[in-house]
Amino acid sequence: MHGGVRVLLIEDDSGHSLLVQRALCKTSSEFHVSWARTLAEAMELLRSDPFDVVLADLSLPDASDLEGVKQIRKLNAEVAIVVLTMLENPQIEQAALDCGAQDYLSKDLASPAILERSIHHAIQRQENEVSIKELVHSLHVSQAELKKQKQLLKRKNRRLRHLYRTAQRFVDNVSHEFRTPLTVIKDYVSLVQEGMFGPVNDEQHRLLEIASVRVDDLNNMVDDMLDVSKLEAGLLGAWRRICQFSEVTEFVAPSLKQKAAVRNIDLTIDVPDGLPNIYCDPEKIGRVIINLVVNAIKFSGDNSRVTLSARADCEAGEIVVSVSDNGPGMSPEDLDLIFKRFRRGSVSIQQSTKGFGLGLNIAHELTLLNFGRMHVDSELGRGSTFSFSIPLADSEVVLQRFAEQLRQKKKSLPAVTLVAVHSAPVGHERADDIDFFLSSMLRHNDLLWRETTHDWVIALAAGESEAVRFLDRMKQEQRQLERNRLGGPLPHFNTRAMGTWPTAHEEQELLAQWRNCLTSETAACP
Amino acid sequence: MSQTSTAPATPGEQKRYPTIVCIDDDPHITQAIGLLLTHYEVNVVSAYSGEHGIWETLSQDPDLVITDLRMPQGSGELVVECLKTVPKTGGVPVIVLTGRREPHLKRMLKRLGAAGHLQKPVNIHDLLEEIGKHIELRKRDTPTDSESYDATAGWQRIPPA
Repeated sequence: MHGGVRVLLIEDDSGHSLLVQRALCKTSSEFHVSWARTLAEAMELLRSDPFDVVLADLSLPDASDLEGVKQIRKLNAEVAIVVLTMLENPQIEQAALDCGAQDYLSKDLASPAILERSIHHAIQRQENEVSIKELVHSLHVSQAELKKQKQLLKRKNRRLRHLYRTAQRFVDNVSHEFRTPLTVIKDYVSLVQEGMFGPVNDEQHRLLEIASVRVDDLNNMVDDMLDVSKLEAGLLGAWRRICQFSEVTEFVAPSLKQKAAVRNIDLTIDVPDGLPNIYCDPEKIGRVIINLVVNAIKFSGDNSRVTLSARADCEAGEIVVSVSDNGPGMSPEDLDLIFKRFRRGSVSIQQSTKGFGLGLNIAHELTLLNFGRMHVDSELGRGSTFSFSIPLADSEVVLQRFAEQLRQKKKSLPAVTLVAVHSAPVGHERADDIDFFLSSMLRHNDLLWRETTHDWVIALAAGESEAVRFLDRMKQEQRQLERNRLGGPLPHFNTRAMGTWPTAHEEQELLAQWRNCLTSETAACP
Repeated sequence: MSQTSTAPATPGEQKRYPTIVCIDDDPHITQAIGLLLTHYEVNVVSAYSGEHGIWETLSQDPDLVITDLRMPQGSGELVVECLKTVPKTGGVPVIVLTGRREPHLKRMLKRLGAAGHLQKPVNIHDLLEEIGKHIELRKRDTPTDSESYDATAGWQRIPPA
């Protein structure tokens, strides 16, 4: 390859051609000029040889005006084109540039220096243009690729959602399939045990009682499995709301008493009247108590004593529930093991095969889910006490607990968004429906707080854009419910994002800002 | 008339006992409830799907309905909603027995108009207590003989020897 500039000169007039060639010789650049008299000849040369620039006359025998420029550009997208003409016409000048030429020169005015400079500039400009075109092209390509990837991701997400629903449905179905025969077994055992079909002696009664209690154990395992699958999925699966502790104990006490009686264990339930209201899912807290008492019964041996007690600690803003036994207790190593498992923080079906049972871990996870803390005291030979706390139904306390949990997970949950929800005044029960609906939309780390019967605050562990998507999803879900809901559509309610904060903020600062936000919100509401 | 429970069954006489329609797709469950109630002065009619149960309720004019939730051909929710919207059956209390555990279930059922809700497996004393809240549950002097139970035909009363 030679080092000079390869020029293709198209000029039908040999005199003009000579003038141009001579001018080029007078410059300091090295030009290698090929000369074509017609467009056809030029095209032939362009096809066979590489050129840096074409100097094109506008009046050729086989092409008039800009036809030549157009054809050259069509054939070769990379070569620079400088139009040479006798005419001094700004309109043609612009048209030539539009057709793909880089410059336009009047032959009479073109001094060697101007010609040289024009050629170099034209080449430079053309190179730039080509590289811009390449960039634009590659942008188009990557944009198309991104579009394709987005589609693919969308499809994968849809598939994941589908699989996830199938898995949840599977767990629901399996638990139902288990529950039905368990019910039949328990019914028939009870019928016989009650002596309804012939006298039953004491020993027979005792044996049937054991069978009945073990059916309950199996039933608890089905509940465990349901809890674990919800916890693993990161779903809330709970309806945290303001309630009374007695709602919890009334529900769990009968089956626990029966269980204790079979093992000859003295179960005392010591819950004072008039405990302040708490904020939790009463069924889940019931599961915590069942798991702790079952654990105590299992490990303390026959004829021992198990006590379930509760007391309010208003200063700490919580109720503390304790399950104590006078069983063999645990060594410091055992305690350590329990806490290690708690710290690992996850429950999975596999763990249950290690012979430990899932009960304590589920109890711990469900306590955390209800913004509580679990504590174990134990001494070898003196028994164990498992205690856990439930926050009082006070917005300060609940928000504080929520902020604490968020800050512990601030790496994975960098932001929190507050959303105000307001419904028109409908009956209490209809408003409860909204409460449940909102709660069912939440994930593990979100919070729903009911300020008044018709006002809620949702604290979403999500940034601004995610919160927008959440609200969209909620609207969609609501529309779907509108069509399928037994008992008619949900009452109307408004949602409004109030602000987003980084969870890296100090806890007190977060709380202060939320408080501000909430007071201005309630002031804004009539 | 304390002798009625051992007297031969005549349509007129049976009418004096409260009637319970019991709906569950598992016949062993309706059978167990039937067996439990043989000791009480009630008539039990079994149905094996939601639609069947609604039909029985409309035709038998019972005093109480006990239903499962998850059933083929008409869920328990449908049963409750349907019975509550028909004036003829709107006043009949419905007790729901279910193995489902969703947190909102109790409220949902209450809103639909169910009178009670018990979780399966249910303790028979709890069930008797719940039934007793809605109808008068009197022990029979002599329970009907369990030998005479026919799962398809229900209880046939045995005439006194």
